[in-house]
Amino acid sequence: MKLVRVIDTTRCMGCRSCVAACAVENHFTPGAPWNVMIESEGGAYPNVHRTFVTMNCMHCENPACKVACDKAGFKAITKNELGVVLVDYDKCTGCGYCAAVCPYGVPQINEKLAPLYPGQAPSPMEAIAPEDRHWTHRKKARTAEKCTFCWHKLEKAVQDGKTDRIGKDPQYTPACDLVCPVDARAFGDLDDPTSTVAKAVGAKKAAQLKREYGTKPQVYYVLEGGEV
Amino acid sequence: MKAILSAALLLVAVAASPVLAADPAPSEKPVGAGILADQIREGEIPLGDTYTLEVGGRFHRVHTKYMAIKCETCHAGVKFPENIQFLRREEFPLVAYPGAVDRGTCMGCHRGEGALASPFYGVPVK
Repeated sequence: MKLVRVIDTTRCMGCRSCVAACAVENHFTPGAPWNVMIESEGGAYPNVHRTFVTMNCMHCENPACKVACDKAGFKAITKNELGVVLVDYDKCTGCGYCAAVCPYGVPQINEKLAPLYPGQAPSPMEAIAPEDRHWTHRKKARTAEKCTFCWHKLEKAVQDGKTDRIGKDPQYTPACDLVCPVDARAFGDLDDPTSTVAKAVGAKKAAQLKREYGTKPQVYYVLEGGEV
Repeated sequence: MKAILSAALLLVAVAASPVLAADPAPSEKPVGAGILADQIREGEIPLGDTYTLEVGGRFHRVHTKYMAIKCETCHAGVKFPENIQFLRREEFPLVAYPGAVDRGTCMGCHRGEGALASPFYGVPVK
């Protein structure tokens, strides 16, 4: 099983539903977003265009962040049995080496646990006590954070023995991939030729970003103009 | 005799070296960055156990003091090229300022086998 995400930038209209879904699902803290929307403009007046790309962790097969963390001796970053790269907040010292080496600028150092709405009552998600949260949501100040492929959902699929339902059943699929109104996102098993992601990668020639770094990302993009 | 001579030469070299003599922060460009890089990797130069990107911390000390890389070598011209569809500036997380360095700059040294620096990026060995 090789879990991948495919993001079709030719369909994305920049609505940021995926960004909002991630924020709600994963206890967003200002300053350390797990999923961000990138806009770029191109062309020359009057022939201009705008492209929208969401960036989250690429969950690389050769994660540079893990290499750096291991070399520093903290071993706070792991790549688990489903290929998900995770940060252990208890081991992370916030040194920032992972952020420095990631070619995609993914890991963010959460400087402080700021409330989502300063001066107001905590949101329902914020009100959940840390001990009642999944461990990937027990955030700490001065530690590295990043997208987990919604590991709390994938982990549930493993526990329920339903990994074949990942990417198909909403309870086993990352939140951001569920909410796209234009089907610009897909998540699933690339090794399954009948999966949406396998078809998308094959038919639309989705490509990984910055392959020259050799990190082998598990997020594919359908880009304007084809492969990069 | 030869050993004594070698030891004497080494002492002179150490005393003359702004890097090796008074460890911490040599202000002049060191000679033989490759040797220094090896010594850092092998732990012969004490850098402490505190890993941090703070200015003056281990990361910047290795790069600016020992490798004599000027700040502007990495930080000048920091921008977000359109072709990589990077973040809109006002949205880019604050943590990235001003240190958002194009990783391609790092790869000048960290590219892999035979390079000066450790291949942190997992670049496959050819």
